[in-house]
This record gives sequence, structure tokens and C-alpha cells, in this order.
Amino acid sequence: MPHGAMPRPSYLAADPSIWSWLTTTDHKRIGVLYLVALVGFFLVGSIAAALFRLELATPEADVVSADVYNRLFTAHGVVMVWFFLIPSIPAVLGNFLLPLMLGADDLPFPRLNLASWYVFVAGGLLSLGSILFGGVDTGWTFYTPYSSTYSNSYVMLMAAGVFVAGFASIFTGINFLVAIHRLRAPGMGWFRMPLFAWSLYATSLINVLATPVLATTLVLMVLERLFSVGVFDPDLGGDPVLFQHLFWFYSHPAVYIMILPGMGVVSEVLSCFARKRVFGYTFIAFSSLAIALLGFLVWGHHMFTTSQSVVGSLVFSLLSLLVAVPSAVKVFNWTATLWRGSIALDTPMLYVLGFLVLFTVGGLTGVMLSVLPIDVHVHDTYFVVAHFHFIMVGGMVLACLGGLHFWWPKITGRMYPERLGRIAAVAGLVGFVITFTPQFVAGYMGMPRRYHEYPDEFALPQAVSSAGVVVLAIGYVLPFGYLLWSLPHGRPAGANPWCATGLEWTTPSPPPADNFATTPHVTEEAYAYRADED
Amino acid sequence: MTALFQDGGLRTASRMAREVDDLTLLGLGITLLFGIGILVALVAFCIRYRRGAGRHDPTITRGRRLELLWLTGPLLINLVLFWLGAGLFTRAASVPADALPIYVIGRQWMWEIQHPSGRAELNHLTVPRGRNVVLQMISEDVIHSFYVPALRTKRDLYPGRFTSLWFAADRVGEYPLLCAEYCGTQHAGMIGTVRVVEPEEYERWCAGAERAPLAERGAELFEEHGCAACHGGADDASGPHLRRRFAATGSPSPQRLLRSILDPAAEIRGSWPVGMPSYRGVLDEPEMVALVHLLRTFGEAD
Repeated sequence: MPHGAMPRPSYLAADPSIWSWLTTTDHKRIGVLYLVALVGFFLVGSIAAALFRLELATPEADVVSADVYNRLFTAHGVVMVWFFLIPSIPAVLGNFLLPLMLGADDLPFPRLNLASWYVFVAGGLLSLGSILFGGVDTGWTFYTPYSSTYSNSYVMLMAAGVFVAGFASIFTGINFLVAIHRLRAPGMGWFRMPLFAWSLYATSLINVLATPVLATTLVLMVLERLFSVGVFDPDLGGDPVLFQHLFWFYSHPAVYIMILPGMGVVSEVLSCFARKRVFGYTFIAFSSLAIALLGFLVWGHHMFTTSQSVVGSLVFSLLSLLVAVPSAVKVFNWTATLWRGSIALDTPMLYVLGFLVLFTVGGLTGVMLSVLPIDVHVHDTYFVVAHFHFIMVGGMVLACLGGLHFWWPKITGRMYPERLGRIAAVAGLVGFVITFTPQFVAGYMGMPRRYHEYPDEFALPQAVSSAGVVVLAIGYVLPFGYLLWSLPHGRPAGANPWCATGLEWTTPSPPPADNFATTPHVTEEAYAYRADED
Repeated sequence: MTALFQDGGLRTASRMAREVDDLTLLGLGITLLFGIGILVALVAFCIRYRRGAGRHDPTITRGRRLELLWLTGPLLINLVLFWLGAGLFTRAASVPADALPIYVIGRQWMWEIQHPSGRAELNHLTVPRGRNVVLQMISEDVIHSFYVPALRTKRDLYPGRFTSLWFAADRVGEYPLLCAEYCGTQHAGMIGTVRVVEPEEYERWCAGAERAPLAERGAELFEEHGCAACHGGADDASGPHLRRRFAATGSPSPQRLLRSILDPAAEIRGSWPVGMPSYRGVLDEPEMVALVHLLRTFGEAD
């Protein structure tokens, strides 16, 4: 480990004034700024979900009116997708860790990085404003002609928020792509990079290539609404299905934006707590790229019940089944990593093991949904809701929490309380399973999504689902409490509390503002764990 | 679990629905097999290779043959699933020629059903058991989706465009009809019933129509809107004689016909002087339905 001549102040201690934080170009501080913003958005999205789950506990509409319900699920979807899941791991952990993992001082464009945070917060405030002042009830999918002709005009404000926030994704994506190409430390070839960096590379490709399509689509929607330019509205000579094609051309790849970084975290945590190199490193690295590329070719599977041609649907079904294969490869490789490992079940590992099981179920129900006649039956039902929550919450949120616990000592220099951490991880897992498994049943029975009241036959699965939220909430509230507590009271972590490989662990915790005293030289493969010494 | 799928839960009213269930069971089996398999492997490994168990060997980092196996295994399984799904989907997408047409108009937040006999219903669809039925559907406002869980099928409705959905219900009974595409405030209230009755009862019920048959109303519109002047067979007509032409070639699909009416420039072929005006904004959806139905009857052999 390199030792500077003088002790260098950590990035936290350097200049603690608010002004210094708000004008920082340090990737680590920007990561922390993102963390603060995302916790706020996650809170908003969760409260919306808790309220409509309360409404759904009984078949009758007895808590909120239909309009309020519709606004709640729209707020939940928009906030969670664009203001939590898409930025979550890349903007917080990616920003903080990527330069450290590559052995660099910072990202290549630090001011662009700071700009991304401001753009993101501005977009978020516009969207929150539309929720608070008017309420938008289109669902996060903004389908035309409902959004362009029938819904209230606050949908314009919300679309503006999502449009603006898209630039934050693009800025971050550019920074990561250039960093990985140009800023790897001497000796770190592409195949010596941590798999987390590979996953961020694949994610950034999608962010940079797909986000402009979403921006264009939202602009077209606004033009139609304000100036009656006929694009999507048939009365003006437009085509409502065109909107769905454009929307999903972004939003399906966005699903992979929301899961690939989680996969990166899984590789890091799994190898550390099994003390083994990830099984089939190259397979995992390339499967991230395969997912990113194939992910662009499957958008039509959201449209099997539209007027899309039969041949189109067949092709999209086949491609969707193909994109499942690299995901399967990853799960098998991760499982095989545990073989002959030296496994410790600390909190980050518990989250990651939960990820593996829930992602497998989420992925395989995705395979079911790619089979055309099954999708035609369960499309737009709770079956689909359960499926993508298994991926997004069971996958990404668990990976995000796992990663946050894993790198918390690095970010803050403090350890979180381990016992509480394990309780929270198990509560999050159990709560999730109780909340979302019954939704598969309700969906297959035929309950459509976005219903504020429903026929009695769906009462049982819906009630169980709502009850699960109570347990799930424990899994979220606990970490919020003890992570804050650990800031002043946690045990000092030291540079490398997990005895993990990776350049980020060679710096002190928390790292100095300029990361490395001398440029590190990489002389071995990633995850070069040695045999147990005990 | 099984109680959920009996009466009051999910019921089954067509052969195709049972085939969808078979596919689902296969998919569910694969999901459980792999899901439980991974879970068991994880638990077993976490116990057997726990830290301090003395079985650590960090040199095992790849296995080409193993990886090839779990690359090709899922690939083959998925190809089989695709094949099975594609077969059923293609069948469900090809409307049988003898199917009885019934028209569905979706609007915020109700279903209007029009039978050729002139019978009309709101939020109820009555169909004869054992007969192929094809729904020709159009929306008056936003996108809706006609969903009958007991038939395991749904299809979206659009403004200005016909989409079709066919089925053959084989069990008498009443089944929920739901809107599956979010359509605004009362989306959850856009529900109704599909009533499957014996064919004789359907005939009796149709005979009780209080309105003129659909084709008759279509014929009135054909005169009223000046269609007949060009398409009725006069010597100096500036368009094809539709009754004669469709009798020879069969009628185009309702969607083709509607597009010809709303956007004639896109459909006109041959040497006719281009002059047909668009009827967009002139006809309302019930009129579109009546007119299109009339044009469809031109193509029926009798």
C-alpha cells in the first residue's frame, strides 16, 4: 500500500462547508450528494406506494378516491423509475467507486459530473412539483392519446422533469465510458477490471444511446399537446401505437439500466464473501455487453396485445427469450463462485444471496412473459407487476442496499452495526416475498393493474400483499436509522475491513480528496483471493 | 391455491384458454425447478463451504465445459418455449372465415356491443356457445383493452382503427369482462360480463332486437353520405361498384375498409379519379361500425 509522506485529509474532512459541498467536483462528494437526493426521492416513491397498498388492502375504494389513487401510482412509478432506480447504483456507488476502482484521481469530466447532479435535482423538483400542484394520472408510461389529449396539463410539467433528468443520465454515462477507456491504472487491462466497472460500462452505453429517444418522444408528446402537431393522436392523423414503440425503445433498455449495475455489485460482494475469483469472469463481463445490445431489440414484447403485426410479435418473442440466456449464465456463474469458497454471511452477502433467488424468479417469470399466449393473458395484470418488482426491487434494490453496506465503511470510514444489518436484510427479503408473490396469483387470476377497486375474488392475494408491506418497511426503515447512527457512533472501519481485493480498498477510509498518493500499478487479475489462512 | 381457481376465482371457458394454462404450467414448472434449484444450491454451498470449514480452494475460477452447458441448456429450453408459444399465438391470430362478427365500441368508461341482428348491449357481451366469434373493436377516445380472463385473452382498442379478437367459448356461463389498459379515472369501473348461452338461445335473443339489423342501418348511411353515388354501380360512377367487387373478391378486413373511408388517399388504387373525401370527423363510431358491417356483408357468399 502506498504511503504518502504527509497524512492527507479525507474527502469528508477537506472543507466541510455547505458551499464547498455544493460546488464540489470531487466524484466522491458528488456520489454522496446523489445519495442524499435519492434517499429523498425513494421516500416520496415509498410513501405513495404505502398509501395505495393501504387502499388495495380491501376490494372497496375506502381510503382514497379514484383520482388520488391514479395520481399515487403515477407518482410511485415516475419517481421510482427515473429518480431512484435509474440513477441509484451508477450515480451513488458508481460515481464514488469507479475512479477508485480504476486507480484514477477523478472522473474525466468533473464539472460535467457536478452538472449532472444539478440537472438531476432540477428534473426531480419539476416532477415533484407536478405531483404536488396538480397531480398526474397517466401512469409512468404516459400512453397517448390519454396523456396528450385527455389528461390534465400537469403531465407537461412531469414530462419536462423526466426530459431534464435524462441529461443527468447522459452526462454520467459519458463520464463513465471515457473513464473506463482512458483512466485505467497502468497494468489494468480490460480483463483485469472489476466486473462492477464492466456493468457500469454496459449501463452507460445504454444511457447514452437510449435516453435521447425518450427525450425526443416526450418532446413530440408536448408538441402535440401544445400545438396540435399530429404525431400520436389519430384525430390529427397520428398513430397512438407509435408512441408505445418509441417509449419502449427507451424504456426496455432502461430496464437493463436498472439491473446491470446491480449485477456488478453482486459480482464484487459475492467474490469478497466467498473469497474467490468470480467463476467465469469473461463470461460475466461479456454477458453484460450481450444484455446491453440484445436489450435494444426486444421493446416490442410490451406490445403483444396491440395492433403490432403477428410476425413482429413472433420476432420480439424470440429475441426476448434470447436475452434471458446471458442472465441465466450470470446466475449459474455466481452460484458456482460459491463452490469451494470460504463463505461468510455478513449483511452485504445476505442481500446478494437474496438477489440471486429473487432475480432468478423474476427472470424466469420474464421467460414466461416472453411466451406469446401467456403474455396475452397476463399482460397489464398483477402478474407483470410482480415480475418486474422481482427484478427491480428483489434485484436492484437489494443489490443497492447490499452495495451500500459493503462500501459504507469506505464511504464514511465507519462500520454499521452488523446484527441490525442482518435483521434488516432478512426483513427486507421476507417482506418482499410476502408483498409480491401473491401478485403473481392475482395476476394470473386476471386482476388488471391500475385498478383502485376490484372484484371480491382478488381480495385474498391483495390483502396478503398489503400486509407484506409492513415487514418490507422494517427492512427499509432500519438501515436508514442505523446507517445515520453509525456516522458518529460506528466503529472506525480501517482501510479494508472485509479484506477485499480492488484498488478502492487500498486507500484509507474515507479516502483522501485526491484518492491515491501515487498512481497504483496493477500486477494481477481482479479478485485474486488467496487460500484461507485459518 | 386450487380454491382460488374454482368458481369465484379463475374460470375457463375455451379450449384455447386450457392450452394457455398448459403452457403456463410448463413455464411455472421450469421457474420452480430452477428457482428452487438455485435456492438449494446456495443454501448447501453456504453451509458446506462456510468460513472455517477448511474446504476453501480459490484456484477454481472457470470451467469452460460447464459454462457451455449452462449457455446452451437455457437456450434450448427457451427455443422450445418459443416454438410452443408461437404455434398457439399464430392460431389465435388467424380469424376463422366463418366467425360471427360482433362489434365492440370502447369509451370512457363503458363497453357498447353491437350485434349484426341489431341487438345492442352495454357492458354485456352475449355470445353463442361453440361458435367462432370475432370481435371487431374500436375506441371512441383513449386506448382500452378488452380482457376476458376466462378466455385467457385480451386485445387493445384504438381510436380510428379496428382491431379484432376471436374466440370460441365452449362453456355456458357468465364471465368477467375487464378493461386492462389504463384509461382514466374510472378505469376500474369499466367492467362487465361475457354471457355464453346455447346457440338457440342466442338466436331467440337476437330475434328480440328493437333496432334494425346493422346492415340495414349501414345501407341507410351508404345512401345518406353519398357513398352510393360513386360506389353503387351507376354508369358514370367515379369509384368501384363495391357490392359487385366484394362479391367476387371477398371484403377487405374491417380495418382496411375503415382506413379507406377515413384516409382514402392511402388506399385508392387503380385509375379512379382521385376525389373521395375523408370521412374523418363526419362519421361517429357507431356509424363506422354500421357502414363497415354493410361492406363486409357485400363479400359474404349467399
